[in-house]
Amino acid sequence: MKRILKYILLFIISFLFQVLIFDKAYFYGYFNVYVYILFILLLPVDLNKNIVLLLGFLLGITVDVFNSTLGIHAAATVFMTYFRPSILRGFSPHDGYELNKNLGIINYGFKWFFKYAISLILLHHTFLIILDTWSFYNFGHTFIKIVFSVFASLLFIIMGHLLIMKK
Amino acid sequence: MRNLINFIFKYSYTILFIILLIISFIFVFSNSPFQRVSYFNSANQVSGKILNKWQNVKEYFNLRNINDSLLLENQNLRNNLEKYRNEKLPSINKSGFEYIAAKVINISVNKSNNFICVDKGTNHGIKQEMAVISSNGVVGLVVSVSENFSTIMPIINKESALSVKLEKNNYFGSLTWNANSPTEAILSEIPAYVSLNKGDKIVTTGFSLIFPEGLPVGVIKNFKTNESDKFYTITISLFTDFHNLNHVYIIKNDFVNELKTLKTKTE
Repeated sequence: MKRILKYILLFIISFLFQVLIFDKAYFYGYFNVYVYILFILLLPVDLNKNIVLLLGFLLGITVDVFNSTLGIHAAATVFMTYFRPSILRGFSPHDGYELNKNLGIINYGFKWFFKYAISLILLHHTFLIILDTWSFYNFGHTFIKIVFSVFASLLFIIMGHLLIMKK
Repeated sequence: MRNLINFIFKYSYTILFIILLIISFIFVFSNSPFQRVSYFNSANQVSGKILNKWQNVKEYFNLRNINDSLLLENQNLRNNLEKYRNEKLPSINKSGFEYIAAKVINISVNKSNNFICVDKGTNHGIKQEMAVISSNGVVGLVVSVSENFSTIMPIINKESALSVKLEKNNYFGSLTWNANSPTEAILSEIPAYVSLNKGDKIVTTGFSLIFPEGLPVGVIKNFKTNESDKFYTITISLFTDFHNLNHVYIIKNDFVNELKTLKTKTE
């Protein structure tokens, strides 16, 4: 029960940080920061993957409502969440995941978290930014935006993760 | 039947994924921005309230800027009033336009589809397709209204198109946005034989019945034409500072219905 409450709190924190702070920030059009997917990254390994998918949709649509960009964040988050089990399997530690240990730097190390986070962020951002731009007219700019955004979000997600871990 | 159930059970994850993705895409590609935004009107009430609270907190840190811009606007209005007095106009004709001040509670400038949320809605007489301006120039168009909030599609939205003209010679064209910078927009459809200068002022045409004629939009930053092209591609530097937008005016046109019925009659 306490665990569920913790994840509900994480959901609210993730999306409030996104819509109140990072969606207002303007980095001269070169990149955007999307930190809300930290919630999906940190969900337990043993949670039913259908539920994780539905949570991804719910999180995406919430961010969409606050931005009046209905569907874009939902589609990107669902897309990313679909590949989460395969990526977890791909980067699985030697002795597998332990069900009662939280996913994160503390239990599986920085290198593991870096690989895991950057793969999911890359999937999410590529899908999101292409869907948002929806033209290949200025592809160079879109490509630069994806690369910059991935690293900017990764930085903030790792920082956010470290902050939450202390609590 | 048994096989079908087994199939669904086995691939439930992928099936759920496809269903959720399709729902999202229906939202994304629903026909017009008007429909898309209005799906979640009641939800907008909730998000509007949260964003409004947050805006109230942030506003304290921004009061100096807001004061400065209001002071500047007041000065311009006083000057205009003085001009009218000097000309001793017997009466100013009823234009039919009425202005409603609203506070910006949410704005994005970093996407291709930017939107602005303000704290006035149907309760204050706001309707869809009303024009929105700032102290400096044109902002955009109301696309969706709930009881206390409305959503505005600014000119820095990929789907926005505004009919504008050159102030000096009345050649008109269409203003769109290429999703690059929130301080610039693109003006097209101006014939290549028209002579242009950097700094020429661009204003609204009033063709759409939504915007009054002659509202300032921006100035020409640079322009180019390809040899095969018959039209210029002009970059406009916008007057409205979307980074720093705190207050807007929504324009109500009392004559819009009369004009619309007249237009449908003649067509």
